[in-house]
Amino acid sequence: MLISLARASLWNRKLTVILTVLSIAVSTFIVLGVDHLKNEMKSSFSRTVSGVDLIVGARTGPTNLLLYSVFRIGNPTNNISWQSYQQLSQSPEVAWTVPISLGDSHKGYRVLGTTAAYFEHFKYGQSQSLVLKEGQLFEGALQAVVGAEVADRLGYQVGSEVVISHGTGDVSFTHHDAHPFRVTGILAPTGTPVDQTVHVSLSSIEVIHEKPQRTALSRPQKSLQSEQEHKHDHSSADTDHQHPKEESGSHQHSDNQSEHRVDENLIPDSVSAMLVGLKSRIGVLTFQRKVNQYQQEALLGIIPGVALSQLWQMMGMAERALALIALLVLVASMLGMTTMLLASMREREREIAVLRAIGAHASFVLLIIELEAVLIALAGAVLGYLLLTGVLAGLGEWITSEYGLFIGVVPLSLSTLGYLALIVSLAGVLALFPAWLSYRRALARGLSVRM
Amino acid sequence: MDPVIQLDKVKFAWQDKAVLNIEHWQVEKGQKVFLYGPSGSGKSTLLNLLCGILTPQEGSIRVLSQELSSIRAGARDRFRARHIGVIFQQFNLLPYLSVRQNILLAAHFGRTESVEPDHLQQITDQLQLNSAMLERKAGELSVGQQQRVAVARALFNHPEIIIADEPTSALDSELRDQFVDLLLQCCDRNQASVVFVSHDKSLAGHFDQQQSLSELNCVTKEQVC
Repeated sequence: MLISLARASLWNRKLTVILTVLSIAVSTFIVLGVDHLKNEMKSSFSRTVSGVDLIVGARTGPTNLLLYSVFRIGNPTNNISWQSYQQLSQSPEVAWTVPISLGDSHKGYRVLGTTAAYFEHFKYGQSQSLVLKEGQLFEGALQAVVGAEVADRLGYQVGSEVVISHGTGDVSFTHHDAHPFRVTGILAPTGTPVDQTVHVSLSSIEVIHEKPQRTALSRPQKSLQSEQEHKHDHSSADTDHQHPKEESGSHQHSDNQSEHRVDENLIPDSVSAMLVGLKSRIGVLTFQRKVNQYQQEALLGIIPGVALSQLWQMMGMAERALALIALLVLVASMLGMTTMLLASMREREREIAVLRAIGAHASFVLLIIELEAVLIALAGAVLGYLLLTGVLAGLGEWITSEYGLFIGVVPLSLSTLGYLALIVSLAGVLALFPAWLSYRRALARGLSVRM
Repeated sequence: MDPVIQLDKVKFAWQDKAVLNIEHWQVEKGQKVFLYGPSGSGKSTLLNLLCGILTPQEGSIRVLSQELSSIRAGARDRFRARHIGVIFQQFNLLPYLSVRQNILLAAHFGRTESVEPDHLQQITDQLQLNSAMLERKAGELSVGQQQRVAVARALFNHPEIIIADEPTSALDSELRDQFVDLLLQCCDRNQASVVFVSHDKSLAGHFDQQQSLSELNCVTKEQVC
């Protein structure tokens, strides 16, 4: 009886009630959305890399190294020499190492030069390996394995031709179009930056950066001036990134070969970073110290898990600010609801007098106003949740492609239910004020209605 | 037989301001009393006292031999639901409920929902409310229809007492006498005593007893004297 009466009374004021429900729905949407976004970002964050014990790069900030080696954000400020790479690889405690070389891009997607070992050792999520959806890994030079998103967005299939551009901007004016790559494999989606990466072999990177006259181009020889421009472009104009340097004179043996018969064993003289797997994880701190105190070169080793949580803490500030704003929006909408209830009290005085006359106790009045508030908040909270679910279902793909965030559906988890319960109980508490006022009035004024 | 309503030495004050002071007043069973009460005569206070919503600071109010101030507020509310039917001058109904729901709401508080399934039909027939009207929203009815529904609701729980507070003030003059006749006729049939409060003396002729509240109430009497 109480519930159907409250429902009917709400329906009687449907316009204000619907608006109030909407305002609560929007704030629920924001509160749940912010929380969900945070959780999803965090999990998407921590699943980007796994199975790697140490990432080693030239000395820079840990965050910077993590960002460019794992997230493909920013650029390496310096490189590791090939000698150091070799030496560290031969350390007794090291099980495997994978070199990675960054600095080129393809239509805005980063190009990662590496070896086949990358696909064997790099893991994401809960130690999941990279899996090919189609085709095979690169075997020789000028072959590329593209991430799922690259293939999807650019419509690539096995056999597609890919021209790599120098630098990492969306628009690059230097294209390595003398050396088009062929897609040999497409990776299955991982939900990590791997999806947005074009993987090529380390030697391919060397090939495309070979000086034009040494790689037997099919196009006419460049003039000295254009060659200097090219060189200039590599060394100083591109200040924000350091590219593995072109081979020096020692690798003349790739001369006079056709572009599809480039030397497999081109050795770079530097790489951007290296991923290290140790024989025993216990030694990771010792090995990290060894890297950081490496005499020949200034190096930095980071433990991915530690660096990830440091980076996350940095982002935690923004996240807390967002959560605070979300809560304030919630409070605003709750105050709106209280205002609505208070404003309706004037017209409801008669209603209350009628209820009192037919034998309702004054606490019935209190209950009914409480119940209405709870019903409004419940409707708003559920609507907000559905709204968020709908929006994520509808826009999830767009968010992924636009921002590289992988936002799953909002789970009806304990924390979500907790938020919904918080919203409803907050409404209940705030409604106590108008409810108590009506209760007092119902007691004092009784059956007489002020006209 | 005990009177249905008996007031003795009742005093009531609002924040130290005396509003009501009644030496003695009683209503016999089956009696229809016209209580003449111009505004300021303590009319609302008396009604609230009779209904058990307010309790007097002094004196005794016995309704159906029950001393109202001796029982708790919740029990007084149940007592009112069960034994007293109240009719206001206007806005007796919750406009967003149907006529049927309005009447059954009273049954809910009087705990009489389950008794006599065709009772609702009888009552509405007596008040010339057709069954189509039962499903309409109370707010859609004319004032005259609403007042008849209010009577039906007031009588639904078989109360011993009907208290009507200016129920005709919103009605046209032709409807007024008609309504009072219908009300009294229905109360007769349901053996309910009536206390009819009004400032319209022209209606007094319908009742077997008339009483001026200003004279009954010593507070206002002193002012007059």
